[in-house]
Amino acid sequence: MDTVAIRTEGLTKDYGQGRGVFDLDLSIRTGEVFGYLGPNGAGKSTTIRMLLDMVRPTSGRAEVLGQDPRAGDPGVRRRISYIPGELALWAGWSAREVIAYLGRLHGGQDRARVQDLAQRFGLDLDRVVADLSKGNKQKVGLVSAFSVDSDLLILDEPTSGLDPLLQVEFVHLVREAAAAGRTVLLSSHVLSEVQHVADRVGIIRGGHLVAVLGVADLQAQSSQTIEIVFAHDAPTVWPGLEGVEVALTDGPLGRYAVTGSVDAFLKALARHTVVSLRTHDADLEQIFLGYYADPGAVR
Amino acid sequence: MTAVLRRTLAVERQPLIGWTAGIALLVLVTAGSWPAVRDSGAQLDAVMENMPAALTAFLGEGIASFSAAGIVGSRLFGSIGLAVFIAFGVSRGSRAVAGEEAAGTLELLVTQPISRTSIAVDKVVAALGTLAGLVVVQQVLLLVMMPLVGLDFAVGNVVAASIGLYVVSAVFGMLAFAIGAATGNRQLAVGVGAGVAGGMFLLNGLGALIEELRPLADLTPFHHFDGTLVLSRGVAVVPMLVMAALTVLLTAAGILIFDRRDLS
Repeated sequence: MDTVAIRTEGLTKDYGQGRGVFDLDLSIRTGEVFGYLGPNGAGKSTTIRMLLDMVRPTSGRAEVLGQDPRAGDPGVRRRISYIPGELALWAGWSAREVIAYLGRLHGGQDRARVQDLAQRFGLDLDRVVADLSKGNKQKVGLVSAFSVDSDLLILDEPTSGLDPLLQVEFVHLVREAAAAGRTVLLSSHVLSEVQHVADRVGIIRGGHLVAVLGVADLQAQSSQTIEIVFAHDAPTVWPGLEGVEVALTDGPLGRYAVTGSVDAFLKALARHTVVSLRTHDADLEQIFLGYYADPGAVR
Repeated sequence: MTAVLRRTLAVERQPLIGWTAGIALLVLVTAGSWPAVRDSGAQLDAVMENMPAALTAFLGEGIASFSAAGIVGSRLFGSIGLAVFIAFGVSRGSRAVAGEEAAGTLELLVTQPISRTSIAVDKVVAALGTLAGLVVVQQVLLLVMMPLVGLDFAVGNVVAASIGLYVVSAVFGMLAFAIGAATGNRQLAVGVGAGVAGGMFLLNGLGALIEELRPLADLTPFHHFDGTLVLSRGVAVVPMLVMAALTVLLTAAGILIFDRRDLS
């Protein structure tokens, strides 16, 4: 078996006016969970569509499971499961019919697995697609993608519209797939969605891959915002603490940006009387900006 | 049968019941009313004779001489029949690829382990197959009704007229398919398919009135397939073969471009 599931070299799709994907060099190892991160419109879906031969590259080349998506045998897609970013389903059919149809097209599906997955996601298979909410349609996509036997899962924003409980269920599914040796390409515009499952992440912005790094590195570089209400006026300085930035203080309220480990900060905090504490997820946008501000950090 | 073809036909089941009922009604009313129409023949003859040349031109040459073949043919294989079958052909042709693409469901099909060409071929087979089924319904019903209402068209002419009707409808249907498959724009496909059919019908009618337009009018399918004449004279083979070839060409072009372009 190939050790590389997806490889692209100088892969470019130029839509003009700076839109598209440019000079993409990407290598995703077999068995890896790869997070593909970027704001909406950065080129994530365009990349995925080139990998699946929906969109033909302007230049460069791609290899998916050892084959050129365009010239290769469409049969290779029997080993790929895909959930589109903008999932559209046949409106008049029931969820069961849609899943069975996609299973037949894919060349076989595990019925018991469909039942099991539908149960896990709380999807009523007999509901008609037209009556399903966005989240429920997304479940149809997930059940369909995970119920067929495949070596590579390409999931484009798969959890959009899912409630948080099911996002956790989704994370379990991806971990199961990874444990079974399957490769997962998971795109998202939210860091928190991929950081708990991905081994590595690639960050794309404006059609350019600006960084590929391990999740641990990413977390070390990202800052999280911690908002604290003290029983007294919020401290405006934290002497001796590295990586803590005071974003705002207003009476008892203080907002601090902490880069890297929060351990030292929490220990320093213990000396104060804290009424409440909230943390915000690391802002991906800030990480992107960090990469632009520091050209040395690019790749 | 492939999954795509089977599924496409399954989706057609209900609409086809409606189309079949409509066509059956058209044949029943047209053939069933023939005895009454025949009995008021003398009055109708007078109407036909006084009909302005412009109107005869659009209704078809055969309408001028009051006859069973002219009257029944004009409805089943002329104006109404052409409109019904071309409408069906254009609607199915445009839906084949562009319909799925507009709905966003094409993405789920082309990312499966099947080639785009095979998807398009299945869609074309479904469109042309259902069109053929409807033409056969009309033909069989007419053949069954004929002895009951005293119509005596040659069976060969009825079959030829049906084949001609099929070919004319298929050529516009596959024009709509080709536009839809090449652009992914269903409205454009319907517009071009129906627009070209309507324009050519008009052109053919005008050609009978305006000398200068005649060479152009002679190129339209409607010049070679006049519903008011087909039941009495049959259908010329060569123009039908040309149209059949054109249908194949349009289909092939649509499939080829569909295979080469970006989908989004």
